[in-house]
Amino acid sequence: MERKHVREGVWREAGDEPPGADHSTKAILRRSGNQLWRLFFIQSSRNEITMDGLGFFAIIEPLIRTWTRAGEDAREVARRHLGYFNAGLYLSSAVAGVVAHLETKRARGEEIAPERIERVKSALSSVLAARANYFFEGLLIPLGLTIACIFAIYGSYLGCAIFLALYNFYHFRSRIGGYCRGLVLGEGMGGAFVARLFREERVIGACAAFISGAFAALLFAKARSAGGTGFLAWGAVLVAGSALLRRRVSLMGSIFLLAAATVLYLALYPYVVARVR
Amino acid sequence: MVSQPICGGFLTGLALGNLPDGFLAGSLLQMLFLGMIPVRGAPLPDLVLAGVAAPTLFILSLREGSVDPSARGLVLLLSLVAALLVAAGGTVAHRIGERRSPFLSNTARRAAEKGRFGLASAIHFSSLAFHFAFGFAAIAVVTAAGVPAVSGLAGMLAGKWSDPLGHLPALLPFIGAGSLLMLNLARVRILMFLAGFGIVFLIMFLRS
Repeated sequence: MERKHVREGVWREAGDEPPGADHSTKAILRRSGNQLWRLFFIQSSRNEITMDGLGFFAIIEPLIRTWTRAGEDAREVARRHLGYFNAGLYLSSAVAGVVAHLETKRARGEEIAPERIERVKSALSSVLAARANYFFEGLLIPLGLTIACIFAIYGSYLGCAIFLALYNFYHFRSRIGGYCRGLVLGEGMGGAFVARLFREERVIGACAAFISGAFAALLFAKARSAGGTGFLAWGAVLVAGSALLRRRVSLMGSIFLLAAATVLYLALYPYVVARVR
Repeated sequence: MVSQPICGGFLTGLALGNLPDGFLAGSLLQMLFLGMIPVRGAPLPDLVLAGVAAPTLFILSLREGSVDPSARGLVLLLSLVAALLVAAGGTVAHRIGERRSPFLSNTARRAAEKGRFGLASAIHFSSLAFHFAFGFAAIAVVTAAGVPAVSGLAGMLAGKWSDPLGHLPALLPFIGAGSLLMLNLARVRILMFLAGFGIVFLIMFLRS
């Protein structure tokens, strides 16, 4: 069978669409409207014991009665999905899609043990959560926010719009697209999804690093025009101080320390300069 | 994602009728936390609350008649400090909430075991209302207590020494730049960081 590219989800994946119902995004959106809006609230009831377990249940709740086999109690199916669940914010939708795929197949009579569904759910959760958290929180969000801050340095609001567009491009497609891919491809979606994530990581990571460097250079240019060499030097001290303190002091501690030192510098600088002259 | 301080500042400024000042406070707070990512699940300060508190305190304190316009930098500083304290307090409140909230999960489980799946879902979504109520209540308390405190302190402390604090927006963002440097210390990414720095610095140098 000829392999073809499937244009759904965050990333184009090479895979075979399973036969059967219409698997276009539009068709899935029509069929799964009642689940899709729930995907955005998965973290509402996060707690230390079951994490997002209740949120996961709330996503699949409209489907539970359709997942029961003849003679099976829906409460038994519900009980299986009320336990611990932690797949992070972004790709928990994909896991929900995979679980929905497997449960639907099981309800149709295929030999899929509930233990296998549980195993797939926990394995995918840990893999996708780790990769997605790094991709979004370590690369994409810092990149978008740095762009927004570059515009903010010059008093432009445009950066906010760019950040929201960049973030939500991936966010919406990973939530809705991830659910659709999981629903169509089942457990087969994990490998291709993660592989594609790795490729995106490199490009976005390089862009984030380049933009961060540009941001630092613009800060130096702005500081030079605001206060001359003294501000340039203090800017360098703050960059070095922030980088060094990061490993020794807590985040809030380092911010308070450096901000206090800056206030002291700004208050004393005019007197020191006047005395030297 | 409007929960980031830069967007929170924009929206708060818009709501309070002073977009430039709201955006300034929000973006400055954002720049302090640039490059900060949660490591091993450690919670970050509650930037959602702080992103609304900083611009609110800054705008409303400046509107108080007792604040001298030359003390603008000091008011900004005090608003940011108050917002950082709110952020720390918010994190503590969330941790307490997460510790206490398993009872929701247990109640929902009991409802599901009785076959009342809709009720179990409703319990989950009702906690969203609690989050919003907590946020609005916290901001109301911070505004009510913070605006008189910030404007009073600014009135008391302002003097010739505080005039240069107007330059804070030019210096504080370097703290975020240091964090970004640490975030990009890996082999290839530091090269890209230095390339971005070098190219832009050269362009700015040639332009001046």
